[in-house]
Amino acid sequence: MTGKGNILVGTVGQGVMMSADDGESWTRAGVRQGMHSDCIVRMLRADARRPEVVYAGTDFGLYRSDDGGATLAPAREPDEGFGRLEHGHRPGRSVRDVRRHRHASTPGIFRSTDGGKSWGKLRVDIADECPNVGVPRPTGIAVDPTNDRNVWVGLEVDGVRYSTDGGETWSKLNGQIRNQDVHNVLVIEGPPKTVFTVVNDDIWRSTDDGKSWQAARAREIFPWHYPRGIAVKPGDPRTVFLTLGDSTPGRIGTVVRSRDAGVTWETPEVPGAAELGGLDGDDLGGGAGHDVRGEPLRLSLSQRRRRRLLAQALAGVRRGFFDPVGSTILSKERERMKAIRVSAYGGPSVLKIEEIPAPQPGATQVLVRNHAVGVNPVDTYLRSNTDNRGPKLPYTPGSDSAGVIEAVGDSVTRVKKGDRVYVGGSISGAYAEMTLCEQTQVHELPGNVNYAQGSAMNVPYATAFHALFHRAHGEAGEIGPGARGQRRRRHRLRSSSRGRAA
Amino acid sequence: MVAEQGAHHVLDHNAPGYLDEVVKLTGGQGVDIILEMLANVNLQKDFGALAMRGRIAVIGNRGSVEFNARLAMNKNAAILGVALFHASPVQLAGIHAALVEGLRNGTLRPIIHQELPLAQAPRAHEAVMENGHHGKIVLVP
Repeated sequence: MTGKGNILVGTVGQGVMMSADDGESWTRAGVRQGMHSDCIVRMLRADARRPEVVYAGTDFGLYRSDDGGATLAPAREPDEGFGRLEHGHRPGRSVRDVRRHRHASTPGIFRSTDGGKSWGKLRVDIADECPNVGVPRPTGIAVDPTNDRNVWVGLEVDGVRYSTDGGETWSKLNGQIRNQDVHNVLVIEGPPKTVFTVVNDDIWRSTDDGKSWQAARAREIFPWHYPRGIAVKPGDPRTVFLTLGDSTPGRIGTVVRSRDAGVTWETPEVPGAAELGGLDGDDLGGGAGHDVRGEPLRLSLSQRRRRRLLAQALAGVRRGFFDPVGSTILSKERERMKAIRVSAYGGPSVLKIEEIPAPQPGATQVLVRNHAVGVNPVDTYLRSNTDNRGPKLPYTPGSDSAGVIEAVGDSVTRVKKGDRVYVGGSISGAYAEMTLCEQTQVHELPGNVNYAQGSAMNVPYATAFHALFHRAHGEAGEIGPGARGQRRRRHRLRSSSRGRAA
Repeated sequence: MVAEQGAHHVLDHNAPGYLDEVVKLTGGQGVDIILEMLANVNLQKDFGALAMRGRIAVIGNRGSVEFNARLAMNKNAAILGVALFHASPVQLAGIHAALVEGLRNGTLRPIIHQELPLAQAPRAHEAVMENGHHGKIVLVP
């Protein structure tokens, strides 16, 4: 899966550019596909649950695509232009929005609870005026992936607002980060769960929901000191990318990466990335791009090599979006799924259904969409932490299920998307709509067997087989429970059948 | 139901003297292998139905048990702990190759007792620990 999918680029004044081949070739989605060709695209976001649905916030208003960006059409909106879009994940509360007016007027935070059909303005205090940019503008919005009641908004230049009740009430971050020139905010799952605030000269991180903050000390560790875009790598919630420029509007920049949730940063080995910062418009399928101040975008992608390198740089941010001004890398929101979660050991009531990010397969892994999940007594022992063998909290229970392969990693050879399988052991837990497995943990489910039956294979049957043949070394002719009679729960069958392999 | 699954003889473990029946069915020898699903209750009694050089594979247990080790000595018997978790990758590959084939040729026919929606996982956990259900308890996402 890595590296596949569309790259959408929001340009300043050239609508949306799209590449379906990791950056080798680009087309503009603006001319014939519905978007005004001169749009200034401030924001691109894929719907959290339906990645083919993409929203573009532009100076001509909000656009929506239902086909991954190939065609765009104006979406209904409260009024005027949108600046930032973010998705929450609570059912019926799918899109949150922060609006940035084109004209100097009070910015606001808007919320939609019906998938973007209608919008309501939320009560939040934002200064009327501010240094540098005149009227504050929302520059970033982030929903806590571990608790979608927690929402963070960055304002340029008016500090950070946060809500812990899904946007009903808002507080201002006071004092902990002195620089009010906020460029972006991001919350990652971690561990540890970390909130990032990007300001115009540094990046701050907090692992206690904003009570205390640590600066990365950009001037000491980064080649340039003007950060703006930040994104977490899909499927790897400890890896964060940050774009750095030299100034505004900027002539040169790069991407740095942290693989430990923002504690340390490194410059990935991507030659050419040092010149990320503008895109040569002629290589993007027509017309030179221009940044906010009318300067040609200069990130040269004119050589194929550079384009390939850009593709490599972006390959990790799957289906990412890259803003040529160097302002924003927006990775695709991960699909959500329902799962049973255990946050404290105890009785059956500790099993809670929640919506969490769907896992994504690594190179040798597969993602299975479950149609049936097998419940085993051992699941209850782990849940109540009998003998102190409970998994690390929080966790999703279950090792057995059956379903269909949803996605496979790059080096998976045993199965392919669409195959019917049963699951014997799972990395992410089986009590969920989808479960992540090593490819060796999934096995063909023959066509004459239904999913419920498939979910019964692992713990009941495999344990009996292992006991009978590997541990007790059952031989043909011996007397004991035959492999044909394994399916029994707490029936101690002393049926004397010939020990016979299935 | 159990007989339909392929067992040659079926005994009710709640019936009195069912272990004597096991001995009788085996011509006084006892069985070579016992898969013990509830060792804390049954381990001591198992030896009465076990053949010489028999093996008791413990795959289920819910507490402590006191038993006389001489029973094991008297029959050169072995008590084997079993956890699927500790099966090697090679063993797992062999297990599932056999199970898939068993499904395909119809030898293995899992029986479903109850299907519940995923959100009812707490109910499923109660059900799986209750006595008297015959077949798999399944959650449907």
